Amino acid sequence: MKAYDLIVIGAGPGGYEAAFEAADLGMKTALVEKEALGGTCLNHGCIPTKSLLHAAGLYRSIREAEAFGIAAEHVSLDVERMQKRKNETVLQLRRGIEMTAGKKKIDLFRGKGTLLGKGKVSVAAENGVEELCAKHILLAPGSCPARPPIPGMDLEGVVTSDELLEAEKKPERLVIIGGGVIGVEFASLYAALGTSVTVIEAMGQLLPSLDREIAQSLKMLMKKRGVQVLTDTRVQEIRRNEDGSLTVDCGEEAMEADLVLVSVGRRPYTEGLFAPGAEPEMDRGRIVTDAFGRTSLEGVYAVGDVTGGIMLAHAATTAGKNAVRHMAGLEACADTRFIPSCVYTEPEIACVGMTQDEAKAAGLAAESRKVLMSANGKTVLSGAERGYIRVVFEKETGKLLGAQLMCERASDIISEFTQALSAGMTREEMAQAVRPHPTFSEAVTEALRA
Amino acid sequence: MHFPEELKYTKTHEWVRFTDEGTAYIGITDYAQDQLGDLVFVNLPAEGDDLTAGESFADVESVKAVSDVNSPVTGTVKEVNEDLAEAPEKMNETPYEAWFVVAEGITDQVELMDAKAYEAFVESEG
Repeated sequence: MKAYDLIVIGAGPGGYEAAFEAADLGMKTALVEKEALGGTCLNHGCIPTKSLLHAAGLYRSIREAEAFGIAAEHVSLDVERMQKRKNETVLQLRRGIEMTAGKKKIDLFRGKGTLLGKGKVSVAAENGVEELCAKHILLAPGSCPARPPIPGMDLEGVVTSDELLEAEKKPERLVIIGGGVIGVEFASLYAALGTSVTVIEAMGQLLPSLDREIAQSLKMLMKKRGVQVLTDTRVQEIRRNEDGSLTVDCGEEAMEADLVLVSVGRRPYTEGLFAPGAEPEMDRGRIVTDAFGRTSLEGVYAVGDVTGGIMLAHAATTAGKNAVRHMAGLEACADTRFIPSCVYTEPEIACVGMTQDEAKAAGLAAESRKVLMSANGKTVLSGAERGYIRVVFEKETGKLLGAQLMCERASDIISEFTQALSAGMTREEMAQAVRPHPTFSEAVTEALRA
Repeated sequence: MHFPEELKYTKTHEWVRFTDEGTAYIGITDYAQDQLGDLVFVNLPAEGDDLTAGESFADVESVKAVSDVNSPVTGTVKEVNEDLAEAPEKMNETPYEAWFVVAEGITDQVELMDAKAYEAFVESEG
């Protein structure tokens, strides 16, 4: 039986980065993956969606370039070519992971990993089952799209993000069930491509996990772009019509669609992960872990989407690396108290830390200041939409508590705030840095001094 | 400039209409919307949020600037005008119909003026 210092099940951002870290620390490492390297992030999530969004953004920019003195006629969209380019990107990054794993002398096992018990893992591949043993095991099997019990879910044309990402044709009418991050990004993508889009959200706002102002801002922006947004609305049934189209029935309202995207959330994926008797403590489908990523089973850690919580690639990567460092008796390599969230709409949305409401609920005397990007030179010259930066801080001390951004480059600018929060800075301290002009980021100084 | 008789006004240009049920509708005045210019966004609180007399509970945006809106009363938000969130231009078009929130459980209020006093106040400001 092959013996390792660490076996990682799942080669997504949580798993493969942990494996790399382990190899760098001198641990003999095995990485088990039943599908493609890179997990959901690389193959069905972050990378493909942002690739398509980039293309859609270009398409929109070109069509709106006349205001800048650029005349572009006969601008056409070739969805198949868009997909091809996206796939090339994914393949390139996937090869990168494979090469790095090779360089770091990590043993790759292509098959389904199952935890058999303490220190034992089986890998089921086409050519048989192999058993591996290790001092430490890291579970990072990720998540999968949640399938709600809506009648008609299994009809042809009702898809999850996995399938929609491979769509070679642009639908005329797209109905999106679920207005969270995945739903609004697809709404943004298809609206830019010219599809007629409707988003249906059961809660009172889009992006229910983010603050109200962001949600309201996005709702208004989407409506401006012709997306129909229905909140506080539940889908009762999906039906197939004679002409092959679908009807999405919400009781009081019903709408026609050529394609229906179901994006109501993702759930931890643990199918076949545990042999009988080898299941750690679970909580409503997720693996329960402590601050170091340890499960209730000795020597077994779990990180990423399978542990529930914030399902983001960078959260998984950080947790994975920290878990490995914990195994090696080392300090954590990154501060997990502040995990930024980004939504790749146009303009982008990014948040880190607490909103004013959250701070108040936590008993802190918090205030916030908002600045509009309409006074920001770079924003005006690039013709960007309404954007803003809101900074939340402790009233007495000025200590930063959080930031919510909706503006160009929000997903890049947010990292400044994450850094400042991690370092426990006050508004004044963060404002000390001289930010160049003209940039989007100089609005940060404005917001800190407002 | 319009100053409805039945309303009360604050020094920071909000109007308030007390009802028989012990609640109060709150909005911004005609003078306020005129000063602010075309309003494109209103950031409203949520049902159940606390209101403190004299403190900001919402903000409005013109293209250029953000302005805080202060609560005339201390209480709790009973209802939020979601329609206003969808159509901020209503604050410019019909400021006295474009209520932001309905307050309930009112325990305190800022110094309020009647229509005549507010009109005089506005005149002295301008």
